[in-house]
Amino acid sequence: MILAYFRSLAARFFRRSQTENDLEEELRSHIQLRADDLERFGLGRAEAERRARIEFGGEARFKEECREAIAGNFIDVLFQDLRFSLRMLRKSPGFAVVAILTIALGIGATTAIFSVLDATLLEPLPYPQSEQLVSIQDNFPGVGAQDVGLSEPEWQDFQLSGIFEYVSPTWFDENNLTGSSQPARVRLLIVAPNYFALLGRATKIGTRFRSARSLTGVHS
Amino acid sequence: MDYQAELLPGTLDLLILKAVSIGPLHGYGVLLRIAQISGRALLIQQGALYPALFRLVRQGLLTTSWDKSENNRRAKFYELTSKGRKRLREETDGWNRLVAAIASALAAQPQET
Repeated sequence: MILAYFRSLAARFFRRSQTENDLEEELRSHIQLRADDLERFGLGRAEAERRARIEFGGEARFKEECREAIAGNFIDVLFQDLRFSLRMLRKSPGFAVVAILTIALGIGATTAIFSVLDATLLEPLPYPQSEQLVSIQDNFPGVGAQDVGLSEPEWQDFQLSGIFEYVSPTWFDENNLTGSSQPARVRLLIVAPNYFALLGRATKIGTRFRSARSLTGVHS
Repeated sequence: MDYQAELLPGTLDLLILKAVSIGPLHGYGVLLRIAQISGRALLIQQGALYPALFRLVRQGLLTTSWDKSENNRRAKFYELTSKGRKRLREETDGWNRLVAAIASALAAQPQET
């Protein structure tokens, strides 16, 4: 039943050019027949056809009205289709539930993916001149190793290369925070002291690092 | 030139059904037939006929087929379906009742009291 409906919908779509040709030919045949009659009254062929066309009236307008008459009023057809689909859905509630869930999941997944893409790729990062922020990744293509991380001398090399204003390593970690009444699990980002200068932002609370502490081998 | 009356809204469909009830006709033939049976008293713009024909086809009152005209031109012919025949009877009755009612209303004389 549903399949038959889709087939008729497709047919309505593809047969449009056929009905359009029919319409064209029918109106042309009318004008020819009228011109034949006028010719019989003693007009020349060209004049007869011209008169026939004038008598017919606004061809484009009538063609448009014919198309409407063939297809039915657009709103009427739309409501017919809507009523039909509601009836079909009510007839098979299982199918209706599956269809609605599929659409809901589809919309949900698409929205979620778009939100992530929008936040990570489309929206600029909330830092001044955020377009100048880049991520450096060190690969060893010879052995097929990706993102192997930087050694400290390598980091210093980048820092001194003059290519970048600031270079800071970042390292995600998790650890336990003790010393208060309740220990807590905290997530850390281990960075160089120039990290906030790199981002161009101040810390929300607390103080920034003092750069003296970035000296190699110095622990505080 | 003779006086030609404009059609009342809705009467074109009835006239088309009547015209093709006598036999299959192409669009131009429908116009000629209406002119003939109305004594050329009605004014129909030729192009206006076609939207009405397509509407009647859509309602299942007419069927169509391509054929040769009397002077050997290809033309689309319209024919009354049984549904169309029934509709013609109903509409004719309705029209006659309407005309009778209006005629009797217009014929009423003022009553002296």
